[in-house]
Amino acid sequence: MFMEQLSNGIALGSIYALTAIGFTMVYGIIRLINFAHGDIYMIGAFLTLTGITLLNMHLVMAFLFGMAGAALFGILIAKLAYSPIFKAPRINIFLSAIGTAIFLENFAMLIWGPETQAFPDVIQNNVYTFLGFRASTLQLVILGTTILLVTVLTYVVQYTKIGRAMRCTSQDMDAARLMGINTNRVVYITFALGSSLGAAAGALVGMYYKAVFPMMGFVPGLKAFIAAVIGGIGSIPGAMLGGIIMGVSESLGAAYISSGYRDAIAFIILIAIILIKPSGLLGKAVKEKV
Amino acid sequence: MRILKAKKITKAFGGLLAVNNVDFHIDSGEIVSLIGPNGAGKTTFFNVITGIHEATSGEVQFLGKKLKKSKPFEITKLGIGRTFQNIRLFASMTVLENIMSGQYCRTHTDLFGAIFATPKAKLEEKKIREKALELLDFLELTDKKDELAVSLPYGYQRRVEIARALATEPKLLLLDEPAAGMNTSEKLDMTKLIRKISEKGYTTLVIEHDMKLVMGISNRIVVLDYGNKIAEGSPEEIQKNPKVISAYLGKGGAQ
Amino acid sequence: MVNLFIVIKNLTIYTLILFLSIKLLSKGFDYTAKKLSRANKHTKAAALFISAIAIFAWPFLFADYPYILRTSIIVLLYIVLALSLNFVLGFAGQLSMGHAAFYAVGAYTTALLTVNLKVSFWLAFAASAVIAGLFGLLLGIPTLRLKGDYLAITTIGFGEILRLVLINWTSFTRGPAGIPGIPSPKLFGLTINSNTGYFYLILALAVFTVFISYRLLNSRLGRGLIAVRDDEIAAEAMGINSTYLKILAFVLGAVIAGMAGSFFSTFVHYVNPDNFNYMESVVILTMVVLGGVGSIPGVILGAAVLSILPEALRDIATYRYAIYGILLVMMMIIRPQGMIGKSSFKGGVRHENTKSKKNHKSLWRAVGS
Repeated sequence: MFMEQLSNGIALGSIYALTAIGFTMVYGIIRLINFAHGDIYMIGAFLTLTGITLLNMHLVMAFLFGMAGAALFGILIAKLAYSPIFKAPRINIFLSAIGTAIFLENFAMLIWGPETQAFPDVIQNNVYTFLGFRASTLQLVILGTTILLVTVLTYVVQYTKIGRAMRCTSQDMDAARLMGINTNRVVYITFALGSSLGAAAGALVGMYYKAVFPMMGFVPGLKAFIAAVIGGIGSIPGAMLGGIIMGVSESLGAAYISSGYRDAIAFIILIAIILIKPSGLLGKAVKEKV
Repeated sequence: MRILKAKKITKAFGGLLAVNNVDFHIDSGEIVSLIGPNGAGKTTFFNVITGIHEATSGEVQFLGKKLKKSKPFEITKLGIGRTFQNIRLFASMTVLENIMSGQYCRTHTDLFGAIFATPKAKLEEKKIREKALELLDFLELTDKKDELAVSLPYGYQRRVEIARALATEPKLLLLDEPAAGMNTSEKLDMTKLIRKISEKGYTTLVIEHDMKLVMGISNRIVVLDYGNKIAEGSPEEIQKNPKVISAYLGKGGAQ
Repeated sequence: MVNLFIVIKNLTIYTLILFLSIKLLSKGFDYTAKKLSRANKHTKAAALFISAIAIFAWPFLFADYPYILRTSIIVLLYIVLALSLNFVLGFAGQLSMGHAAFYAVGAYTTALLTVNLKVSFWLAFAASAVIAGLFGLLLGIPTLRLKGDYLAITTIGFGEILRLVLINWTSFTRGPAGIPGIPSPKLFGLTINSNTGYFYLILALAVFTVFISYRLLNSRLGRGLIAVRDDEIAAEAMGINSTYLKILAFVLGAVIAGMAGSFFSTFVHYVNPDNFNYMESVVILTMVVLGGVGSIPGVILGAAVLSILPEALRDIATYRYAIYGILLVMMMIIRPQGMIGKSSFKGGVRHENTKSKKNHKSLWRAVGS
């Protein structure tokens, strides 16, 4: 029982981690909590589903289609909802983000309908047992995809030109611009990357629970934010760690405490973390200068 | 009367000594200036003597009592009013409202009084307004009182900020670079203004870069460099002090 | 997928209409605000007097139109809710996104007390206010140290936790089934069960809320709150205890939302957890933002517009929330101060807002945290 919950938790946690990375990347660059990120995750799931059912794509193709489409959404959101007010007070941008989130949820409802749609059985699901761990094919696929995507992302951020530009921009945007970095492009690419990772997470969840619906991104979006906060917002390894912690504690909590309160566990963790160490486990504290 | 007295203040951040063994005092009615090159430890010293930071060693006494590390609002309530280097006015308030808000810590109306407009609350409100109008008059801002404070020209905004600090009824007024970003004629106005405030009996501590302003207003100047107090005295003494000259101009600067 | 084009077409049309009407309405309000600030005291008093008479006579004018009367009651209820959020968001500048939670606490307190313990409505009403206030205090103390978006997410979390408790603690709250049969209030032996009676009840609450909003705003505490909202560091340096004031505003907002909840439960006679979900908080928030954060007439107008709009737009009801989303984004871009901004009635040059879209190549500026 414990081992089973642990592997459930790790599968769930790697999905949170993927979503949280998107949050953290955008935050790292423009200090904005992209509240619409959870809904990008939902859009990714719907696009993947559409790719499979309507356009008869192969699973992998549909998955990539979902990621690319969500990346496009990410760029559009940045362009239409955030960039016109970028110099306004933070609260305005955040409200704009909330507006975007509400819009996306209801836009999806209008296009795909409010009902929950079944995700087809695309992967033969077997159960493997190894050293007491019980894991299903799907769980392994989720873990494998997450590891693959995070590896690619780490490579991009650490070893490519655009990755270097991203790291520069996140440390000091003005200085980066003075050094000849096209920071606008960096911002949009960050949105695109973060959104495609979120979309991947959404598609994986769709497969895992075999269900896709317009509000599916709301709670996971909040949880991914919490995961990012736990790890220290702005830090990619922190988001990974936070995601796994969230997934495992949620699975164990749901199993041993009460399944009705599984969503509450995340918020309780958030409140505890914010009270004890607001900068997160791997983050740095920032204070305003007078 | 001694307003503030600091004995052997040292403040270290890790291994870095930001302020090293500095003695300081300011008496009632004085204008004292704290100067020093960039990174001399002025701001740190300022934060220590106002209780925002705690000194690593040494002791600060304000009005004869030991100053503990406190929150900014408690310090203001004790009687230290301040302005900011980069002006921080309340953007949605008029000039008058900005100044009235300075009276917050000297008044007591609670929620009940506010909602039911008790006679006591009404009287207090009237006093707040009178006090603010008085200050507006004193700082020659009366005709600007109903304009949004942040829509005023720079020089006026500084004055509003000083009026707001005076509204907290400070025993010690701290001006943090009051002439920053001003042109020559505005600086001249500021010099006159600081003198005028002092004549009213306020004790003033000024942190400033501008030598002309400092020389024109101060009774006494304290010079910090690399966290140490390198000189203290009247403007004339400071002008002649070789240590000060070399700190500002580098060695050999004074031919 | 075929309807993708229809949806996009419709959304474009609605957005355009919305855009134009916001522009037009805002122009109108600017004009009226200017006129009003120039008008003399007598004209103002006369205008106020006439509107007061109209509002009091309202139930008699529309006595034969229960639909209009019921809608008016809902409008007033949302005015109270929006004003209660305005204490937190408008006065203290704190983005609380779980406001429906306090509304729920008030509604459930009244429901449980009147149904289970047969307590009189008035006692339950007072208890609702007190308990909602306690919840506000309990939540406010730890969270109000947080800044902007962190606070928003934590308050969403609180709202969700409360909703989960309402759903799962079935022995106490009857879970998703809700609590039916909440009685009408009695006053001097008479039962208030007509729309007219409820209208005056909620009108009294609305007038009370407007009254304390103004009194608070124009007091020492109000100035302290606005100072905290404008610049917390400067406010602290003026001797203002910002934590205390933020908690005060939070508790006050919670108390009023609790009263609104209490009214809601006796008006509808039934409560369930779905009445108080996240979207409810968002609707209240949108009202405040649309009308003008911190501006009392603005918030009243915003609440009125957004509670009448869905009634007027029955045909496109499915588009309602999508339009709310666009509305929030659009307001932030074209008129962040709201339809009636808080400084509309103040002299001097208007603040520079965010319109300067031209002449900068770099839209993305670095921001401090």
